[in-house]
Amino acid sequence: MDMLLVKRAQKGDTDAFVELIEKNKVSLYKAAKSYLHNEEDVADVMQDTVLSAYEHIRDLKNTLYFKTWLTRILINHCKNMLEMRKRCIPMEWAGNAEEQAPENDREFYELREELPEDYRIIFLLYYGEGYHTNEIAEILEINENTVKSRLRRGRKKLEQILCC
Amino acid sequence: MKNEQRRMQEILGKDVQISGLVEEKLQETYEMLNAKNKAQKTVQAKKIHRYRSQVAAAAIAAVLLCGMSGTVYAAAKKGYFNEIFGMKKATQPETMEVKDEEKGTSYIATIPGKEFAEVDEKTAEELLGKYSLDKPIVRKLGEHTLTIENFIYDRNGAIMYFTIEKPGGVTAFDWDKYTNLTKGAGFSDEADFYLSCQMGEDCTEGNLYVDGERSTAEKLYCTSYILWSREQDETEKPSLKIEKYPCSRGEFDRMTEEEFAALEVKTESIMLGEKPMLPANVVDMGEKGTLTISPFTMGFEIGKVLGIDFREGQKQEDPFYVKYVEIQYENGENYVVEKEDEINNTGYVLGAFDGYKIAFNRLVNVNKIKNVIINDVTIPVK
Repeated sequence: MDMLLVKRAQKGDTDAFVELIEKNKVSLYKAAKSYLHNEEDVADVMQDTVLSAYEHIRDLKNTLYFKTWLTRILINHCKNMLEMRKRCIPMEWAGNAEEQAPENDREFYELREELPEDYRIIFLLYYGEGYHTNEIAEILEINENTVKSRLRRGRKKLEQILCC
Repeated sequence: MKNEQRRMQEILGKDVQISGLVEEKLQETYEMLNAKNKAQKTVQAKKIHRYRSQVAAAAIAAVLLCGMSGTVYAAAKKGYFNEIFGMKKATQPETMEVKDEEKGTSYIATIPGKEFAEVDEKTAEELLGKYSLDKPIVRKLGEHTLTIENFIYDRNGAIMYFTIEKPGGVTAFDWDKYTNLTKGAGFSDEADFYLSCQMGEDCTEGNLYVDGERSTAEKLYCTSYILWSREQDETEKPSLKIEKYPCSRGEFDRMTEEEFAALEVKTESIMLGEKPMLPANVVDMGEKGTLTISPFTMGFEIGKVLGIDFREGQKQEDPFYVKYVEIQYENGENYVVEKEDEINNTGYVLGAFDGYKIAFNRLVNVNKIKNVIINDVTIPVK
């Protein structure tokens, strides 16, 4: 864990804070891509998340939960961005995902393309980031049973695809 | 686990390539943070340690107050609203050159001036009396003694007035006149405790103002201006979280992860919500959203009030959109809360998840307000 880095960042050490963001930026990017299609929106949300986290890191009580806390900030910013645009912009993976995604990442984007948009972040947090269902429920502010049922339903679909 | 699920883990868990656009934005953000940090360090270099060299025969008021009954304290507290909101030393706007040694460049940073106002004790008692603590709360924190003289909270934030004492000199806070003008005092490396205020899921230490005129080496008079990141309601009760460490915070840096994890931290939670939440006036502005205003805070949504089209990718909560805030009273008097680069008559400002929040640095009589002005938008307040 990066507890010491978090503590240093809480004391105003910007280098420590930047190091924490660098360590978590790929996870944040993947989570943002679950919500947003436009790359500029993703960039704005990432910036907002970093600035909010820097502003409020002293308020983080338990350093163990830095990543969870950071992810939650990002998701809130993603939701705000969608709300501001007054229209839900789902990831339209089909059609342009293959064109735009780097070759090495094609599997990632194709797999998630198969999932309904509400399911994507849940699958990413569960399988990609290793969160438990209760943690995901807390991050997304939804019922844990909802998380479990979406995992169950989405899993069936993905299993069919992956076993083919 | 089935093979298909392992495959999901493998695919979703792998690192993906971050686009150049996002990487550039991150680098730009890091540069912003570094510039901000450098500006603060330059300010801190000007620290005045006058308070450390003062030797004052400070009475241990906390010990005396601890034994007072609520009635006696209520009589004795007459005057403490003046401590919270009352006259403090005004400052003028100040500019300073901040050097970026890595780039070999420099820029001019401006610290706006601060003005304070006298408080009418009778009005303060009418507006805040029944929401104030009946008696102080006293705790020993190692060699320091914390005395919370008053705590008032509303849906936007809270204000905590307290003293911190230590024979031989208070060492728990890093502060000077510049911290009062910028980000507030912070816990020093020598502190062996940490305080934060919890309200629902919010946990914050707020913006700490130390009254340099009144404080001595052994006793600091402090006001913590606290703003919640999300608007709260009456179902939540605030509490003060105290962490006591077996070593100083500075020693954290020299510890290994294992040593740090093995630290025995004692925690205590003090209930601060014995009194009800201070009500706020809510002004419905139709398409411009709502403005909530209480005697010590105000909150509104920047985008709605200023009619900014955030679909251009701008940041809704960015405080820099707000250039001017003024409260106009029915009798023609006014309170300029903020004027870009010139005046910052706030205790704290927060661009939060659900809007822009201000903690005032003086008492606002919400019953006498005529208008609130935000940039060029005039909002009638009844």
